[in-house]
Amino acid sequence: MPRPRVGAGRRDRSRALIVLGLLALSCAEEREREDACPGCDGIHPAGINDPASDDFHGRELERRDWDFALCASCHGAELDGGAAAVSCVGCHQDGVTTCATCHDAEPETAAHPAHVGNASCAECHQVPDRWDAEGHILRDGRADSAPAEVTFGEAARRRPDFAAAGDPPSYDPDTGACSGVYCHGDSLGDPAAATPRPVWTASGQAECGSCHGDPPASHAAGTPCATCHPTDAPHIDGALAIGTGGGCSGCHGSEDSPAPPRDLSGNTSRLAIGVGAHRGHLEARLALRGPMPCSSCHQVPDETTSPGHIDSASPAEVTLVGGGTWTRADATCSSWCHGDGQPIWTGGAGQVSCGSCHGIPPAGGSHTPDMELTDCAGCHPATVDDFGNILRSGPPGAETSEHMDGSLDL
Amino acid sequence: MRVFGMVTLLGLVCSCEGPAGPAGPSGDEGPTGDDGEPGEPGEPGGPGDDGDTPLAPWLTAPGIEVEIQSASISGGVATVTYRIADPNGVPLDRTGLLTDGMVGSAFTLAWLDEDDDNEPLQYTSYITRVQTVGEVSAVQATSESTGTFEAVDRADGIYRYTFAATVTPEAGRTHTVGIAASRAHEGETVRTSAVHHFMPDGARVATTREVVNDESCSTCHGEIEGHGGRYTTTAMCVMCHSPQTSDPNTGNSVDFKVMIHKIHRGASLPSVIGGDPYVIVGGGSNNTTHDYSTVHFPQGIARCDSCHAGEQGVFWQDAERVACVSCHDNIAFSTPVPEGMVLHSGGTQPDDAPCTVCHPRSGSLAGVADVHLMPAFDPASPAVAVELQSVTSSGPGQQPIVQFRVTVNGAPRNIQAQPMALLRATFSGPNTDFARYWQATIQGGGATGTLAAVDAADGVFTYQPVAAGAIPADATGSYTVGMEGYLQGASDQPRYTLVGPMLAFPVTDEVALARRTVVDPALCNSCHYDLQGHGGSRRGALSCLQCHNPNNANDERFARLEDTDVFVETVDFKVMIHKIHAGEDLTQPYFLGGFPAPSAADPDGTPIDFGETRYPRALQDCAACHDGDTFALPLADGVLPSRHEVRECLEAPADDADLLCENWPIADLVMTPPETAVCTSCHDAPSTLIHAEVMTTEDGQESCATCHDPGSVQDVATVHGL
Repeated sequence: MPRPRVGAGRRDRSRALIVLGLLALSCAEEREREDACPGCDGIHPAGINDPASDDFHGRELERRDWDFALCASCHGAELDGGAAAVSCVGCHQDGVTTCATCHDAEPETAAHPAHVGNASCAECHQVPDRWDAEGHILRDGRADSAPAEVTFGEAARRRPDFAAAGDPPSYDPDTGACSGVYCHGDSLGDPAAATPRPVWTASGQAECGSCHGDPPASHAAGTPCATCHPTDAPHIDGALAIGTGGGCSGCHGSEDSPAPPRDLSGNTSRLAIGVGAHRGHLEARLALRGPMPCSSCHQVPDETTSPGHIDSASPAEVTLVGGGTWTRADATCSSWCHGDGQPIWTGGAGQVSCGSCHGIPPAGGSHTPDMELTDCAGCHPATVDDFGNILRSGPPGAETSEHMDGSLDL
Repeated sequence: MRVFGMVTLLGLVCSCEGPAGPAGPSGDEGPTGDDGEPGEPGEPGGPGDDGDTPLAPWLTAPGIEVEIQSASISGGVATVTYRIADPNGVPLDRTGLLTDGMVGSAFTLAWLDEDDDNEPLQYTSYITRVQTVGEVSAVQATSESTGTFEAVDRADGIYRYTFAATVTPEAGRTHTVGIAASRAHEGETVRTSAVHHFMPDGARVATTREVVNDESCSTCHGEIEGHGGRYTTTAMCVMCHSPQTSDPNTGNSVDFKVMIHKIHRGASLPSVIGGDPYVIVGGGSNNTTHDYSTVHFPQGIARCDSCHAGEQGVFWQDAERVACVSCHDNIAFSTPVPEGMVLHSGGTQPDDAPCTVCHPRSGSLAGVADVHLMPAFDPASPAVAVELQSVTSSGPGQQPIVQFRVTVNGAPRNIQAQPMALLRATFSGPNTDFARYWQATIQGGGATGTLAAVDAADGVFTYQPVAAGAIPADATGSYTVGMEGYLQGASDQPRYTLVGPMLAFPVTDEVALARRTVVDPALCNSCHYDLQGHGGSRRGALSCLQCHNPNNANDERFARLEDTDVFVETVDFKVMIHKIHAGEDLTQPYFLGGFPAPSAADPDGTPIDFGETRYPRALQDCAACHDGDTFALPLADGVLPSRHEVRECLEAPADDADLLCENWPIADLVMTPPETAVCTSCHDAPSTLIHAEVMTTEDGQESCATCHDPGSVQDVATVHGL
């Protein structure tokens, strides 16, 4: 592959010859090979190959706006010897103008190592096609000095719909701080985040809690992340991964129903309070009435982020339609639905039976203690049949009943 | 030369080089060449490795134990590693070459399903067969032994069996492997079973199933012996007896919870009472018909926890139609109701889901535990007790004065303020062996005598019968008083019966000598739970002896048909109890008259056929009932012969309008000597009776002990395998 030809010199040719001669003969990286530059003395200054010297050939070239033509005048158009018979590629073996002449492909300075591998160079810099691309080390034909400009890419500019907009991303070269970048959560606007504007030269700014609170301020303390966010979901990808799939069942329930099982902790057993009798209510398994909607006991959100859904700590709030009290401590419910009973949520189907909500027969009214089950239909014909079975009507899964509907069938 | 010239010309023509044609086909394979010369002999090989030291045979004890050490399923191949040993842990050689008796083994492998709550459901076996009867086929779980055996450590009795069946394990479910092992040893085959739970992925086993356990079964059955003794633990029974398996002959399920319920309710099943026998036909090549219609459960069938125990022992309280109707098998849940059945009192039901509305474990209209809680085993039932404290005025001809203390739930009861429904004293003696008894009712219908308070607040009273209840003038030695009684509200209310106490008292003895104790009441109750007789009015085994003495025959209740002579059985306890329990093993019919007794309206009375009793354990296990070695011969001195009667009816049918024989004298009194009576109560073949008679002198001296006493050739214990 032909080496790049450098452009023609435009400045003090005699000095350029000296510089290029030294460039060719004194590789900074291989100072032990100084004998490779015989004759430099007297042509180039003594520090021409010393990176610490102000006379170092790299600095001299920058001062000359990277005019490699000067070098080529003595060291040849290909910088491989020329009249000076001293080749630059003796040291710059991959070419004089490759990236590695000035910096590593994966720099190890400051926070570069932490970013390399997680983000491409283009997320923070304008990556040139070639060494003399405009804005790289030349701008308007003049040398463009370090440091490299920071020009944020897509990741930093990302503004997911769940994140606050905020200021555009920027980098302050004086403080070394990034701000407004999505990558570090500044655009999330989470006041609980520890270091959403990380400093480039500092460390420990990419821990859990740096970019967003642990948990975020909008979340309840103590709720494990995995309750809602799958542990195997991509991170910092602009998407909010909630649950293992779309919709309600991503976090609770199943494909068949949004109601547990499974609960937010992954439980499937009825003995788990997050599971309990959810399905029993939604499916009306005991056929004591029609199926109950989720809204009978919970405020059902329109979408995941609707107010009142995931903006407070789990467990879910219980708001009993028609009044009543849910006592999580003992997993009992006192509501009109269960009459005088206080069934245990995790107690299984046996918690609700004839007599658990009202007496057999109920006390009061026209009831008498000697009444049999078969007597019920005499006064409540729309509620029970002659055997005392609860009457239901409607298609499977959408049955309705006069029993436990809030009104007395008499 | 012309010829030469032509040949040459032809050769020239033929040798002109033209274009090359395609390669011709390969020629036929040539004949096999001759054998070569034998090679030179090779160098001698090096010495081989040492061979295994051959095992020498070793001595072992009778019996067999098996322990499953591990099991696995990988790539469709299931293996089980197990150790076989004698009861002392000495390893056994499976082949029977190094130890006495070959060990046979059959293996099962099944997975246990679970519900959403991780509670165990039922097994599905990987080892199945299809049983076909006519055009009906049914899948049946079974066992196999056609896989491969490998000796892992023959010297330690460790073997590995690889199943012949290919197994695709059910993920996340408990797997159970079972072994039924048998060993032929000294003419007998001994058997044992073992199971092992494992997860094919190596995870910890979290779910197992134990709805009944072996200990519960053993209270009645002693050793569990399924399928002729092949299976000795219920943990193995349930691996095959699941909903997976049915009987193609009858269509009956052999699911354990169905089959076992039905077997144990047997004669009391509504379907059996209705005339349909409950039959299961053995599977495989067996095809034996088993009719369980004569099974009588020896305690309240409703006491579910007589069998249900273990980790899921409470599952019986969870209403499940298939289990419920296994006992209540005349209940229909849909219409039209089949003939012989009745509609569920709660009407038709679509499925099992609503069962718990009316039948939760407890409460509601008919909580499962509630409706099965009978007064006899309801802990809340009042516990009535009488403590017999003394008997005075007990000499011959005297009216005895019995002092006793009554408590209910441990608290004294003033029975004068709160009388008992029945309280009755029974006197019997002499205590060498009860030859007579008489009774006096203290409270209740027909009460006589004098009840006096000693300390009414403390429940202490005395009772003295009337003169008719006096000690016989010819009485000698010691006698016994016992009591029976109960609390009861209305006559249709349950009786709360006291456990009959007994107290020996002197008549002519200076110090009372109690009657010998032969049976252990606790052993009776291990199967009968809380033994009660005579409609629940008498409770406890020991007091039975007072009336069921050697001189008591069943004449009051035996069928009394006119123009019929009958042999009236004795109700002597030592004969009656043996015969009742021997039941279907008897060679002769055995009927007793029950309650109600024969009457003009029903001269046949209530004959009870104890010949159909199916004793649930080894009948020869005398120790199952007897206290210590009281079964041994000779019997104690003073044990009386048993009274049988031949009753001859002297009433002609034309004498009156009914068929009850009211002139029924004893035509022949048969007093069977005691050892003969007790031995032939089980061994009732005529030849045995003749043997006993031959060995008995004309004056009734028996010589049974000559051959059957401890240490003799035919020691009772030895011949009964004790």
